[in-house]
Amino acid sequence: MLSGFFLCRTLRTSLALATILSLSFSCLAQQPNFLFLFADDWGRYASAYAKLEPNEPLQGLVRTPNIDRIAQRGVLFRKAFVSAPSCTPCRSALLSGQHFWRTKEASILQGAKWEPSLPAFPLLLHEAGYHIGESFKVWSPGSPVDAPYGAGKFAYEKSGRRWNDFSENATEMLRQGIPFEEAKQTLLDEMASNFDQFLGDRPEGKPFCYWFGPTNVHRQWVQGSGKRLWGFDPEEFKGKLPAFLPDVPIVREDLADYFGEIAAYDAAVGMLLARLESSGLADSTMVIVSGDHGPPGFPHGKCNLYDFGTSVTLAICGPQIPADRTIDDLVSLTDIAPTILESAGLPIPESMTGTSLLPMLRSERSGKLDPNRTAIFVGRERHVESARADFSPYPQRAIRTDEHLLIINFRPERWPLGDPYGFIRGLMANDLGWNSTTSGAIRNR
Amino acid sequence: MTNVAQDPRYQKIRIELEDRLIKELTATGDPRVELEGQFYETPPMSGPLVQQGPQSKVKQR
Repeated sequence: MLSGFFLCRTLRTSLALATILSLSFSCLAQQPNFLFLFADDWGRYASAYAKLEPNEPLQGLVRTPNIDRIAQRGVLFRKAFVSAPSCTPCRSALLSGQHFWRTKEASILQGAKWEPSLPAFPLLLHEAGYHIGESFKVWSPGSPVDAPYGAGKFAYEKSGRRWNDFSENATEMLRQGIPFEEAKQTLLDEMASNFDQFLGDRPEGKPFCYWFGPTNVHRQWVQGSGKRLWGFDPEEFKGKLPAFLPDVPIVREDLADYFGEIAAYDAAVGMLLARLESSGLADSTMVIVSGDHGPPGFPHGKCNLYDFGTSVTLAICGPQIPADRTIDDLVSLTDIAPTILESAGLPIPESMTGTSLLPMLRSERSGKLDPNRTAIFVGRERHVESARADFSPYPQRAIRTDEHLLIINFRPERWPLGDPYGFIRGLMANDLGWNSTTSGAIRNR
Repeated sequence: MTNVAQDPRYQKIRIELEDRLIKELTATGDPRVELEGQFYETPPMSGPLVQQGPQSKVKQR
C-alpha cells in the first residue's frame, strides 16, 4: 500500500505567531450585493502575487491589473484551494459549501447529476429575496446544467456568449482586418451587456447576486494567441517554468497562450468593476474573484492533487473589509458559501463543512489569523468516464497542511490521468485532453 | 517539492497525516472510505456513460 502514498514537504514557511481573532459582531445595516467572478480552469496566477513571491518567476509574467485591484481594495488569499481539481465536483462543493464527496451524484464530472437536497447558496439568497443572475458556466458538465443556480432560469446571455471563445473570436476578427483593440472592445461590450440587463431587471432596493462564469481560460485556445493578441513572448518564459514542466518551446508557447486567456479574463473583470462603479454599487458590493482549479492539460495541473492543480487565486473586497491585506491561512473554496450567507445575515445550513471567512475578512490584520485553520482537504473521482479501458475512476484524497501534502491513491494500480492506449490512439479519452503541452511532453520525454 | 513518503524520518508525520485525513473522510461521510468505495466503483459513478438527454444551456467543456 506504501506505493499508494505520496507525501511531500513543501517549502518551510516561517511560523507566524497565531493570533487570536478579535471578532466584531457589528450588525449589518444593509445586505451586501455579491459579484462572483469565477473563471474556468484559472489557477493560482495573478500579478498580485508577484511582489509577495519573487521566487515564483511566472507570477512576474502574468498580467492581471484589474484582479489585483480587488486584492488591493480588500484581501488576497495566498493559500486557497479547491475541493476537487475538476470543474463539476469543484463547483458542486463551492455551491453547496461542503467537501465534494458529500455531494452524491454531483461529485464527479462526466455523468454528474445535481442532488436537489443539497443547499446551494444562490438559491438560498433568492429565497431570501435577492435578485440573482448568472452568465455562462455555473455548474457544468452535469444534469440539469446550472441546476444549483436555477438551471438557466436566471441566465443573462441574450447579448451573446462569444466571450467564452475569446482567442478564437478575436483571431477571426483580426483575420477580417479589425484591429485587436476594437475586436476586444466589441467582445467586452457584448459580455458586459448581459450584466447591464441583469442590473436593469433589479427591483428597486433589492440586493443582488451575479455570477460571471466565463470559459475562455479553459481549452481550446488559439495556438500563438498569447503572443499575437497580448504580447506574451514565449521566449521570456525560458528558465521560469516549474521543474515538472518541460522547458521546451511548445510548452512555453502553450503557457503564454494560457496567460493570454487570463489577461482576457482580467479585462472582463475590469469591465464589470467599472460597471459597478458607474452604477454607484461599488461600496455596497462584495466582489469575489477565483477559479475552479489549475491549468488544463499540463502535468501536475487540472485533475491532479498537487498544488499546481488544486491551488487557486482568491481575492475578496467589499463593505467592512479593511483594504490592502494578504491572508496566509489555508482556506477552501467550500468556505465561500458560508461566507456569502453570513454576509447576507442568513443562517448557514448544518450540512456545510466549509467555514465562513467573514471574521478573517473583517479583521484589520494580515498574515495567519485563525489558529484553527491547520489543514484543507482535496480529492477526486471520475473526470472523463472513458479515461481507462474499464471506465473506472482514479480515486484520490489528500490533506494539505502548511508544510506537507499527503495524497492517498486508493487504486495505485490504475493510470492517474488515463490509460496509455488513449495517447497511442491519439484520442482525447483521458483526464488531460489532447493538446500541445501533452504532445510536446511526450515527444520530449 | 520533495517526495518523502518513503523516507523513514517522515513515517511519524506520514502516519499522523494519514490518520487525520481518514478521520476527516469518515467524519464527513465520504463514500470512498465506506464499503471499499463501492458507491464510486459502480454505475452510475463508474462504467460507461448513460445518456442523460439534452442539456443544452451551456456548451460543455
